[in-house]
Amino acid sequence: MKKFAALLFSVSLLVLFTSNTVVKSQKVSNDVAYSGSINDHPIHPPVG
Amino acid sequence: MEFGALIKFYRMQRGMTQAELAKGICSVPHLSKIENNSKEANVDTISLLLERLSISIEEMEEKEEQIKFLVRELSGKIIFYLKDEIDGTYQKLKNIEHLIPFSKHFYICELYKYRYLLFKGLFEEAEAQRDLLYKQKKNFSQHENYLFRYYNAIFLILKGQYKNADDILDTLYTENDHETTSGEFLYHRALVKSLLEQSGHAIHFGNMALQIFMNQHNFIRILNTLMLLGINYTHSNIYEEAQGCFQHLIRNAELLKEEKMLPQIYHNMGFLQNKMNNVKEALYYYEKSLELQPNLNQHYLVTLYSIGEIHYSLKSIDKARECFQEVNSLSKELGNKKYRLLADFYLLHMAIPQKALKYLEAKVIPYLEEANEHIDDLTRFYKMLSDYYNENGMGNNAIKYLNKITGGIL
Repeated sequence: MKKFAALLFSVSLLVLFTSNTVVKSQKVSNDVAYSGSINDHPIHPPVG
Repeated sequence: MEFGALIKFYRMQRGMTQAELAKGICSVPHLSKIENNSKEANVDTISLLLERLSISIEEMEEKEEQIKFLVRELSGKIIFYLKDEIDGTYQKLKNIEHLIPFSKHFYICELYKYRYLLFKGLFEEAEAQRDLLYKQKKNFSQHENYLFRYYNAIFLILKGQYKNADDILDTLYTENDHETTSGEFLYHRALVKSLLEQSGHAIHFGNMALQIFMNQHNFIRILNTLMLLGINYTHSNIYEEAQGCFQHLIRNAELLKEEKMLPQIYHNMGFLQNKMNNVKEALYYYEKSLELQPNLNQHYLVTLYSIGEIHYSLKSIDKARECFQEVNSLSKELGNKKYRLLADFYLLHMAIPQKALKYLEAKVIPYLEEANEHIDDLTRFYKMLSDYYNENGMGNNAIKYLNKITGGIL
């Protein structure tokens, strides 16, 4: 179990340093992580 | 003007036989050849035939010039994005459309009709016109063929098929040895690159387009291009340049009476500020954008959702709930599944977080994955689920979502 926890911790670290997104550590009961980029935005200018 | 076809058309319209029309002017076989364009007739013969049909050759030549002029005018209105003026020109062309089949500019006219329909966003009519042109494409000149393929790319952009559009534009660009003097073409290249999230390319083509539009004093397209550049500088984290673009846009949109653009500019400025972690400034611009949006449309929905997310991040839960409730009902009204799911998720998360995460896994993520949402957007939700499973001792599930973030390298 300890080994598994250590593996998971290493994996988390790897993800933290390889992902180009700011990934915040959080608990389930906390607020939803916020990046503000899930929208269909920015709004593009017209095709014309 | 194709006089042979014109003579045949009017002769039949007037119910005359070839013998009646040719009598005293030329032989019937000669007339037949003229009508089928298999023989070049001299001007005198043509004049006499037209005279008998009560048509003046000078008038016809004048009409030919008019067609040429109107097509050029139509093209100008498109290039300068003069939405309010284009219908007048198109109507003038419609008034003489019975002559267009006999014009030397027939295909060009039909191609510009296709372009006009795309410009107006009349998709069904545009599609029908495209199918009509497709049947004629073997008769196109090199230039006409180029226009047809270019307009097909615009059609695909409007349909949301960005990759296919990009392929066509790329081929056309290569065929022209990477040289073009058309700001419009470069603008479309930049736009499609931006929609494909290739910001470096979008900035490259956007700057080229901007240079041409500036030389032409093409003010509306300058604003459109600055918007594109602002968006792509934002995506590329070149914040100072992005701010410069949006500030310039805010100053000039009012000046150029492009008030319709203002809410979109404010929204994009809000997006930039948010990316720069200036959350309060972001909220200020989003709210300013929302105030100026008169209709409860898709843009309104996106801005409202963004405001909801900011309130949520600032822990203003009541305000966030109010926003997401409105997003929820409006998304149902507008048939926008994505925002309905996302609003549902946030509302549920405020009440029962654990249930919300199950909903996220079962409904939201599969939908976003299928819609090819940006990986940055999905990463946030993957991370949320991997943390949840990790904390609940479900390692395999946690790794599954971590794998999705890293692209399966674990």
